[in-house]
Order: sequence, then C-alpha cells, then structure tokens
Amino acid sequence: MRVTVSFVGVLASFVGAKTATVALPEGSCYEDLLAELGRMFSSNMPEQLWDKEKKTFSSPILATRDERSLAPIDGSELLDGDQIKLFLMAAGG
Amino acid sequence: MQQLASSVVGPDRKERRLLSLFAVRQLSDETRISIRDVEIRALNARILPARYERSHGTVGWEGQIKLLESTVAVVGSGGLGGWIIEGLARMGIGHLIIIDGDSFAENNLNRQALCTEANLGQLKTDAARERVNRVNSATQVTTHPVMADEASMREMLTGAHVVVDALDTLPMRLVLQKVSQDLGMPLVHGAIGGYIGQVMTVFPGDEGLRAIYGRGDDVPERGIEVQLGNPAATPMMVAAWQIQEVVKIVLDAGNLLRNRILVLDAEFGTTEILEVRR
Repeated sequence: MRVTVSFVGVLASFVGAKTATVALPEGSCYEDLLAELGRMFSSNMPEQLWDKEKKTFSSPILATRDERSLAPIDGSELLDGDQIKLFLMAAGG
Repeated sequence: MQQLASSVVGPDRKERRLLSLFAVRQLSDETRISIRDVEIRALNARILPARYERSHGTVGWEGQIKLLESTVAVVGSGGLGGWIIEGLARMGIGHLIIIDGDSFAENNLNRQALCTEANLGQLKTDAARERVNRVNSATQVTTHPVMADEASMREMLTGAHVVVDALDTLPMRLVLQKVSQDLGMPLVHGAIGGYIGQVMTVFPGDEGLRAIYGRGDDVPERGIEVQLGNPAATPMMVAAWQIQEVVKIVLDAGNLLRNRILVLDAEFGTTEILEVRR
C-alpha cells in the first residue's frame, strides 16, 4: 500500500522535503511509517529530532490522518491511500 | 467615591463615570480596604476605574468584576510565564499565584519579559511580584519560589480558578495536568520551540496533554526547542493566546481551544487548529 505524508512547517525544513509517498506492507502502522521515513530522511535530520539508535523521532511528533483528529504516533493501522500530515510539537516555555 | 469620580464622554459617545488611580489609592488609604476591593465596589456602583477604560468595551462591568474576583495560578515565570503574568495583571486578574524556583540568567534576556540586565540572579518570582505591583496594584500576588513536585503543586494551586502551564519540561507538564484535573481546575497549556508554538485548554476529564505526549514513562524531558532555541517573539505569540484563553474561561465567553490544539508556525506563516482525541 501507499500513503502520502506531508511534513508541516519547520519539519519540512529538517526533513528536506514537503511531501513523500511511502510504500508499506499491508497492515503497517504509524510506527512502521516512521521507521520508513527514518530510512528515507534520517541523514538530513539533527540528533535532537531523530534518534539514530532507537530509529525514531526524539522530539514529539503528531499526526493527522485525512485532516481528522490529531493523534500520537502509535500502533494504529494505516490504510492504502491515507493522507498523513506530520507536525513537530514544541515543549519549551 | 461618587465625589472623587469624574464624568467623561467615551469614544462611543456614551457618558461614563471614571475613577482615577489616584482616587482609588486615596479611597483605599482612607477606608483601609484593598485596592482590589475598592475597584470592585466602584464597578458595582457603575464607576469605572480609569485603568480599565480601554478594556471596558469588550469586558464590560460584570466581566471586570469577575476578573478582579478571580485567582489564576501561573506555573513557570520564564519565557511564557513572564508575558502571561504581565497580561493577566493588565487585564485586572485579582489574584495571581506564581510558581517558579529559578533565577534569571543571561540567556533569559532574549525573550523573558521580566528579565533585565539589572536583575540577573534575582528569583523570577520576586521579579514577577515587583512587576505586577508596578503594573496593577489591585492584583494580589502569592509567590512560591520552589521547584514543585506533585504534592507541593497540589497545595500551591489550591484556591485557583484557572491554572496556566508555562513550564518547560514535558514530565512536569503532565504532572501539572494531573493535579489540575484532580483539583477540578481548567488548565491552559502553551509550549514553544523556535518559531513554532501551541496552545490548548484542558478541563477535568479531557485527555489533553496525554493525547499529545502520551502517558508513559518514556516521555522525553524536552523537545525540539533544545535544537531551535526560543527567539523573542515566539513566547509573546503563544502567551497572548494563553492570556486570552484564561480571560474567556473567567468570563465564560467565546469558544475555548478545548479538545483542539492551536499550532502556530511563525516562520512559515501557518496556523492550524487540530482536533485532539477526547
């Protein structure tokens, strides 16, 4: 299956792309998507954004699917044709 | 009070009675009633303390009384907290509880409203009290210069009508949400990093920050702000929205950012309001 990912705002600068089309096996979830994005883009991302050892984002990232609810990246299953937007969340004060 | 008030015609061409700051202070001195209570009595008599004249059109008589009778806890007195404290004092919040165990350092000068070259090393809570006293002497201030944990937070927040999250670490933000919800208080969350920021209001029973950052022990201490820093305008931008959320809660007005998060990106000129899992 294929899902389309949009990187919102400053996240696009870090990743080096505004969108990406990602091919994944059927039954894949957000965590699988992120692992694939890591393979595609991790060389561009700073350590504070991408944990090379754990192979995942080290800063909070949230997703919307098809413009609907914001959700944390988890084991929820993705579907062919999903449009995913990824947001970088801040934590400073 | 009537004798000390003056009649003016406002920009809306309506005549109103105004009470100057000098008159408020004089009445407070003569009657030994706090400045806040003098202002509340004046408002009840439909005499407007002149300091609120430019808020009056949106806040109204009863609204200003509600603000003066409210207690707001601001947890964190740094980048966000400094501007929030300033704004809430100017709106006429009657009592501010300010919690922060930190002192000012040079790297606070770029963005923290209460930090100046002259007060480096000063406790942030002391600077906050001094600033509020200079801006609005009607606002009573209680300070707690401590690094709070869950137990102490619960004690310090008691009596607040609204809690403001101006912290800078994720685990403590989650603790603050838990305590606020346990105490039945709404929480106004804000966070910043680089040119991005976010605002959300959380009520008891809402998933709130748990829907964003998760529930587990693996929540990182900090986010991308470690890489991006926090330039001057970002805390102003987010603090302004947080102040407005507090005012709306107190006045029971408008639409809150409840179960929705406002995501601002000043660099790319985007704003998004996203639904958050309930």
